[in-house]
Amino acid sequence: MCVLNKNNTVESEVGTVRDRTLFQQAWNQFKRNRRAMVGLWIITALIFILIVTIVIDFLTDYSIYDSFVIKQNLRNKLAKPSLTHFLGCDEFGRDLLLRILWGTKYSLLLGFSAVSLSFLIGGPFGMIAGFYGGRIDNVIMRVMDVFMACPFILLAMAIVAALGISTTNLLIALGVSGMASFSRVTRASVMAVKDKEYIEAARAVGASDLRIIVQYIFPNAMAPILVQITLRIGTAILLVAGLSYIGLGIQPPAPEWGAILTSAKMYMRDAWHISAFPGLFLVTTVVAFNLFGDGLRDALDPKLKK
Amino acid sequence: MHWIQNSKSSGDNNLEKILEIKNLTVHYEIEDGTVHALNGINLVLEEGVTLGLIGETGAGKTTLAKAIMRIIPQPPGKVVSGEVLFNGTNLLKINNAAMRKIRGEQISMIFQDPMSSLNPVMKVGDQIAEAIKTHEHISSVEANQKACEMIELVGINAERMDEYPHQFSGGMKQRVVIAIALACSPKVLIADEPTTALDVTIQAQVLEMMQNIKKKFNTATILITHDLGIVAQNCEKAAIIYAGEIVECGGTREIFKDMRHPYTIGLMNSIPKIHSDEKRLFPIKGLMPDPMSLPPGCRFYERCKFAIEKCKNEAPEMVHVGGEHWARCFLVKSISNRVE
Amino acid sequence: MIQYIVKRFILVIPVLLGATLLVFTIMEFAPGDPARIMLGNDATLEDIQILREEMGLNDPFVTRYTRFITNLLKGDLGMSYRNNLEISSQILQRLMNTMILAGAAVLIAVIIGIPVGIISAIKQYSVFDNFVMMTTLFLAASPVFWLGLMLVLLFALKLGVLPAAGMKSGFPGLLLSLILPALTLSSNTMAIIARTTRASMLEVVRQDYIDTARAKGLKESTLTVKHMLPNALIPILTVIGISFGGLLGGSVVTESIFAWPGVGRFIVDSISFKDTPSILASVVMLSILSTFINLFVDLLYAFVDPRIKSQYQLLKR
Repeated sequence: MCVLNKNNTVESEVGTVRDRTLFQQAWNQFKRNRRAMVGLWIITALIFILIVTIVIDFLTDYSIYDSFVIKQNLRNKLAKPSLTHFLGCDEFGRDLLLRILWGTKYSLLLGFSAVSLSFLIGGPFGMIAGFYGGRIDNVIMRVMDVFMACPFILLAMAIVAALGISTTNLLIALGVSGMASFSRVTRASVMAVKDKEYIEAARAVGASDLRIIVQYIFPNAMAPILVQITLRIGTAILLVAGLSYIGLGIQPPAPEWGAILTSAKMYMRDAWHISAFPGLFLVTTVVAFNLFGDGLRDALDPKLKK
Repeated sequence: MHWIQNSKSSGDNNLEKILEIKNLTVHYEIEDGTVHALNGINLVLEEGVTLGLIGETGAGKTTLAKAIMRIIPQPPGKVVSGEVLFNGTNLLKINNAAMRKIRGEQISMIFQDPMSSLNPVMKVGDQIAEAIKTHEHISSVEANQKACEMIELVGINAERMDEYPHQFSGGMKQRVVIAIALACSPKVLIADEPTTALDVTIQAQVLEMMQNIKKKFNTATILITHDLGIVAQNCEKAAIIYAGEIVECGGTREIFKDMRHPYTIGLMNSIPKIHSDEKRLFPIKGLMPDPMSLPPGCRFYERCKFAIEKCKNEAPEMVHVGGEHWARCFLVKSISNRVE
Repeated sequence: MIQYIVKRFILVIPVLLGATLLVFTIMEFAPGDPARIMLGNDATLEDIQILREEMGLNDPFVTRYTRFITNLLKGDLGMSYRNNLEISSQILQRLMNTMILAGAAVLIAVIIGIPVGIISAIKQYSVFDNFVMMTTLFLAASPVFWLGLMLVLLFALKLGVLPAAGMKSGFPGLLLSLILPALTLSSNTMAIIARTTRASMLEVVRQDYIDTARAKGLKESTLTVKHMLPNALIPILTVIGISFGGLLGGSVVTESIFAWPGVGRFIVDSISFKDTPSILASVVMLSILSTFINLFVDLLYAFVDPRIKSQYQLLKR
């Protein structure tokens, strides 16, 4: 006899507990992975910072932003870390910690949007190529090969150079450069699932095409794609920072982490803190996404791990 | 039953004991607990004799084979106690260098799945020659020459020495593996289910080839299998292993004519008989006990149709049946699956 | 075998054409009239038009593209807007410098990454292994430019042992000035190679043929070198190949930090000067380079993995 108990799990006769949904199974597996949980906590903290800064800006109509993050205060120029300014001040006397916190939204939002864009453009191509195969597959993959012949950053730089420096163009540049590899991943995913026997079995039992796609192909193909998306966010964040560093991305005085580092080099001798801390935040964020992505991969496909 | 009449009898008792395993106990320590893979194994192998080791998956056959060769990964594996005497020397106590000399030269092993037993990026001839060069101090040219001879011996054209494993079929690959194992004329060969992964016709060929070579080199063999038919046709002695213990052993003929352990009886009865008119199959009900939590009494208690109260709590010792025939059961004297 | 190589070369050509077309198309969007820039702000509309006709700027897209390709094949990369000099002469030396940097970076990444990965795999779960996993995690996630800054801080400013910028010539000047930038550029790749090596070795260690080899009585060291490594190398080769594109791109940023006179820096400067032809030429050259390196790695595969080699030998018959 099976009993449905409080937390939506099913208990059967022998006393073993089976999770109800795929999601819960994956979540339980994920929870056991300490590193992945650390990644998740860090990401949650960052999202929290993101939301807080946005809300503060909204409520105060950017006044706090203007007075603390943008306005120069040359008295504190290059101040070392202290009790009043935990991470010190930059070359314009602005509190570094506040700048970094306000910079979180650029990295997170841009990183996520860039990857989503790559996925939205490249994903459908990959799925079509994988599903139909044959000539369509060939043509699409040849085109993707062309995109992949150019190193990622260079393509992004060329697009920004051509379209001009702005946040929108940055997004377009990153989205377009990254779509080729996404198309590969989606294609591989769909192809791996398409020919599996359980699809044939589903057809044999009379499942409709739509049902097959939604209940079988999608969940099984999405797992590796989700993992890719998570892992790519880290790369995208680094790219945003990198492009901003050489002046092609977010422009100062916006406190994007890479942009903060641009001028850091000049003051390195006296003010190493300006170089060190934004970088640490960048590393931590990317590490968090990588750990999360790895944990996701292990949780969604335990076979791979063993 | 023809195949029993054709089976070997256990020759004379004057043969040298070449391999003697005493009370071997091996555990695997893993995250979730300890796996008691082997529990006090006792086994004797004489020169030139083929011993069939019969058991289900998980009984400990491969662990035993690897323990003799000392290639069990040492974590998580652990030899808790016991001795493996090869010509009197305890293999478990000698140093690594000495053991390496024995591996491949005195004692060889062939593994179960020929598809993955060969290095995919190394030529087949080189893999055979490597076995030779490791133990004999001869030049490369001479080693290749010997490798050629070995490969012809196992029935493969010497021209194929320079080909890679993926260019061979399963049966051919297994022949190569055998060539590697026998290249240095070892005294003992451990064959872990050498034909399980092959289809029946190839099986017969490979076994026949092994027989011929065995006769030629007088190699003592432990033939691990779950197939009673193969044991009957190829082995003079047999031992049945269950849950890490030997439950019955002796001459093949003796055992097959007069089985005493309920597990052996169950195995025999579960084979469909081609001569009689059978309506049902008679498998042994239940599963082998979990090696991480073995029962206190007889390991076969749960599945035994002869079981009595005593069997639940006390573990039986080996009981002498006659000659070299032993069985681990309290009811040895009263059970028999005698074949007339 | 030769046939296979030739075949691959031929296949690469459409990809190269496509790539050049892609970059050319992108640069089409760049603002700015070359003729006007060259003639200056005082030029009359007429003069600009005449110059445009002369330069062929009013020709249809296809014509201009074809012209670009033909010039490219002749070695003519166009004229820079910035200083009206031929781009090809400016780029050539810079390409060499970038190759030196990228080459050194790959070398470092491989020389350190692979052995570290192997040892890590052999001593799985040991202190060394954990340390390696931690370090590679952070190295792979670190922005190249930040690492560069930190390295300069430590070695050039605090310790004063290595130059902070520039490319010196001669020996040992070149070597000393190469160390920091190459180390910086190699960091991400080194981490990835170490991890991939470790994973690949772990995979190989579990294989049956390793047991077969061990049962022959081989020494562990022989096992590692002759049996595990050759099999483990195959996925590692893939990673190295893929990384190269990233390295060429990463050189852009690294060259900026260290004032290394390479193509990357040239591109950044060209962008700030809106020197479209220079950008076009540089990106195209780097893409061509990247493609050929990938091709080379692919061909290396056939040598390393006999299964692939025989596939193509079979095709011959």
